[in-house]
Amino acid sequence: MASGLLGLFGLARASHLRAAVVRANSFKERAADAKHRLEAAQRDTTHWKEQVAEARARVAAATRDVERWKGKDSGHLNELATLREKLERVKQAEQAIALTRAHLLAMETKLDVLEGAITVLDRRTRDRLEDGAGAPDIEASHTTQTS
Amino acid sequence: MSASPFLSLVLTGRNDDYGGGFVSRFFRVLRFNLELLAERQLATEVVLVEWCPTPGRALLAERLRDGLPAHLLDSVVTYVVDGRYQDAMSLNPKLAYLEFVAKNVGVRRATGQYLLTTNTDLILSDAMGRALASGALRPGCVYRANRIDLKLGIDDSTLHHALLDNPANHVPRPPIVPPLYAGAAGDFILLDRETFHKLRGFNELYRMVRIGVDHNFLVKALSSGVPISDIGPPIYHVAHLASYQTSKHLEDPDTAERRWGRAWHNHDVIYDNHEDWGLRDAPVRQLSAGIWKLDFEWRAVPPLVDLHRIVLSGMATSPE
Repeated sequence: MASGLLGLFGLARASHLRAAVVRANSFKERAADAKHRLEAAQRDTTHWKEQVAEARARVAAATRDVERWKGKDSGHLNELATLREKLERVKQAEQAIALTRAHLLAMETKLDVLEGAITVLDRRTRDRLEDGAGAPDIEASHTTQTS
Repeated sequence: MSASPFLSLVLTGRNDDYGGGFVSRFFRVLRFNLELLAERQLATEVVLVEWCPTPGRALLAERLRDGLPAHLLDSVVTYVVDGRYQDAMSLNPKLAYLEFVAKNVGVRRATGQYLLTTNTDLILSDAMGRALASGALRPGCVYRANRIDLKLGIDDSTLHHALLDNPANHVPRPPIVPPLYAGAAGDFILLDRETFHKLRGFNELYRMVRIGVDHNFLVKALSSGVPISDIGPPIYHVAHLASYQTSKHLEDPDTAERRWGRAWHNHDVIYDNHEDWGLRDAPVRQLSAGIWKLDFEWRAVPPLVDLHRIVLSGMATSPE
């Protein structure tokens, strides 16, 4: 009843007023707390944005590095393939040289034999001519011995 | 003598006092070797090829009759080769002795299961006698041996194992090594007769040299799939003034070529002898017991030139 009468005059009980003040203070504190949390979240957001930006920059840099190394590796692989090809050609050239050398030795040996045969025939011809076109003299005259 | 002895010693020589005291040195060595092989009960024949005897001198085969006991003489058969073969076959008028063509004459006619082509101044060691008698020899393998040179000037008038085996009497030589086991190969090439004939003996196409033909045979054997092995025990070499090792640095070039010929590509280029190698078609007649004569006939002489039979060995070699 008393509350009703006080209400008619725009007044309230002191207890009500104190409770309302307490609630108002509580709301203020909660509002301040929410404000702080909001500010912290904003700071975190800003921080994470920076982190993301930094990470993106790193990724971009790493991507550039990867692309660069890919290019370098490709160059190296090409170089390696070229070297292998050259090595193969060197091996083939060595085989060709060895074969050529062997044929050269065989040719020299055959030339030795031809030269020897020509020398022998020349000698026989001269002997025959000196003997008045008689038969070639192939009688041996030897003085040395095997050991 | 048995129709097929275990071993044929194939030798060549003639009575020309090669190296000084040739005949007495040869007889001393031959007697020592034959007695050693007899002790081991190895049936042995000696095939001596008297290549182009020196005119005006007694045959070496005839002197051998006086220089060797009868029981050893029975094992010796000599083929005296007409002197005209040297000039008919030689491709180097300076070269005086076609040693390996002469040895081919012996290889062609030897009857042993195994043929040992060696020289008249090579002495078998006691250990070699044991190795030959061991039964360990296998056909299809060329056997080589390290040669030990005896010091020039030692008293070798009486040969005995204590003298031979004494390291103080030895002159060091590099050992033979795989795959060819080359080095003085002409002093000891032991091979079964069948394989020797399959290879057709020593090179008869490059008739210009004496040096290196033995090495060339080893290249030929290996490139033909015939393995080469060190038999183990050594042989001994009696040093004399005409030995290649003794005189190769002392002779003037002309004398050196007369004795041995010039260096050639014997490590790389080999040969495919005609099937009539070893003077197969030379007519043979008997002069006396154990002495046969190969008379001269042109049909027995191989052509001067037969280039397609000079071939590559197919073995890897390194430039010299």
